[in-house]
Amino acid sequence: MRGLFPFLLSVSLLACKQPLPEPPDLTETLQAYEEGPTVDVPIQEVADLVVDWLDRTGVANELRGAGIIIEQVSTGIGLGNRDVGDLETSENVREGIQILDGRFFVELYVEVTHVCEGHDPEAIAPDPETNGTLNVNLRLTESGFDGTFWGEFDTCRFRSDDVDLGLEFNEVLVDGPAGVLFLNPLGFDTERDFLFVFDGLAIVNGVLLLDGPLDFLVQQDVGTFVRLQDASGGQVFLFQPIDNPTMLELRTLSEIWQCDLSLQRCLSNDGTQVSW
Amino acid sequence: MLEQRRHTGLLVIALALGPASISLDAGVQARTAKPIIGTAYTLEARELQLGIGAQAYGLVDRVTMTTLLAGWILPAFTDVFAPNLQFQYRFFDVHRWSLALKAGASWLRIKDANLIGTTQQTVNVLVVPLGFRATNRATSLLLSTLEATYVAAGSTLQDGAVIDDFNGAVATSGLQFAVALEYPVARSFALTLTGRVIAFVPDSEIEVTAIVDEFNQIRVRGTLTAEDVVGSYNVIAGMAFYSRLFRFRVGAGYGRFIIPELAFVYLETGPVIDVAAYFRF
Repeated sequence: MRGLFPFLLSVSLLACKQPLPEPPDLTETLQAYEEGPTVDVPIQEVADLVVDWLDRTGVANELRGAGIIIEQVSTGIGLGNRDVGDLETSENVREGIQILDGRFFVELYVEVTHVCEGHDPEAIAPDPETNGTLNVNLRLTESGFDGTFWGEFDTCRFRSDDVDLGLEFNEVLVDGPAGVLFLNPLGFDTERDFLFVFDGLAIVNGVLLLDGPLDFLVQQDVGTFVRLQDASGGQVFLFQPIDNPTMLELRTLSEIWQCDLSLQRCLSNDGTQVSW
Repeated sequence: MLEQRRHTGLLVIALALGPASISLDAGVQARTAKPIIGTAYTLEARELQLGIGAQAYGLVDRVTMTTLLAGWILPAFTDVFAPNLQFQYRFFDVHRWSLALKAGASWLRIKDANLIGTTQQTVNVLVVPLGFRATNRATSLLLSTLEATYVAAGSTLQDGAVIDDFNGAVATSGLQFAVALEYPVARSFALTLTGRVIAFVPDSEIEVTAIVDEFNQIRVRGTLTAEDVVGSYNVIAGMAFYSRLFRFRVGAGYGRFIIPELAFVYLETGPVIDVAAYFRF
């Protein structure tokens, strides 16, 4: 029978068009990264800026915490970390694009709702009331996937087994809207470069790591850039190279401060040193 | 292997639904001299037509009720159950012209459709064809019928699922035009020529929810247009043998297999056959 009716096109007797949600425009944020640092940071503020960043994370590296968030987003899209049988959702969506193209497809809106796992490792049943949800949306048009995921963490509680944070596992709570722009829209996986935008709060092990906007750019072969929007009246960037997690660069308009997190000091281009 | 199965299924359906696929059946002329199915003509009251294809019964002189037998027997060899009923009302007869309106409803119930997200999905599709036919016997020989049919189709996906396989067939709304000619060349033998085209397919709203597992749900909605369906056509040349109580028609042509009563379009373009046989009582 599958041969005869392999596909039933769902159609409406009354073709009333319902407007589809628009993805957020993340290109402005991306342009801010292309623009680069806009201000210099006075030397007496360099250490404070770095320490403040580290303190805000409450752990060694908030970038990893942000990575956890991304992981959750990708989990919501790919459903990859759960036992979902033989379903590879992203593959199917991708297949749909190819097959629909030129035949049926006009535009499609996909919404993935993921019930967060919660902090209790023994809990098995989903409990959206207690553990919250993660909604991830994407939109497909005639030209395919534009590379933007967007959605919202709704008091999403989950456990992270990120041992780099120094604990066996972490209890994470994330709440707020988020968006991900893949710079290469051909793929759905997080191995590609992407821009992450978030505005909300993140709590790890009961410590408030973030309360407000955060965006960062991940270049898989290079590292992660974090934009500090209100540093000294402009934007500067923190750069975490992928091959050296103990190093952190503070990139300002005219200086690059190389910070050694283990030695708790930063060196400027001309050898000026600050420490904390 | 899959393609082979599809063709086999198509052949079976073509044999069973031939009259519907080409919208021409000159009917049994010997008794009343009026062609019936596929034309604007109707059976007389309490007349019955049985055979391979559409079964017809004359409710009154101007109203004929038909059903595609295949829709009822499909469950015997497929996962589709398609109960269907059509009515045709002949409202105008002047000189050589007859005009008729037709309406019907089909309920396609497709078990275990090829959907992703869950198993054993059942898809229900309501199909409502509304049409107009004009039949003219311009001369004592040539019989011509023009038809315009709008097929409205709406589906429900029980429990929701993400549609996976977009190859093969579709059930879709659309405006279809058809023409049918029959030209007798002997006492009980006529040549036939039919054509059908899908001229318009409206955009379709789709909304599907798939429960992937207890933690994850996918909802897909949007607007689809079956661009590839627009322009689907078939042209079939054939011949009809008939006697007083029996008619047999066979034809072959090219295009896509279309069953307007079921909003069915098989997307593969190629040879199309038509076989029909009727007894009239």
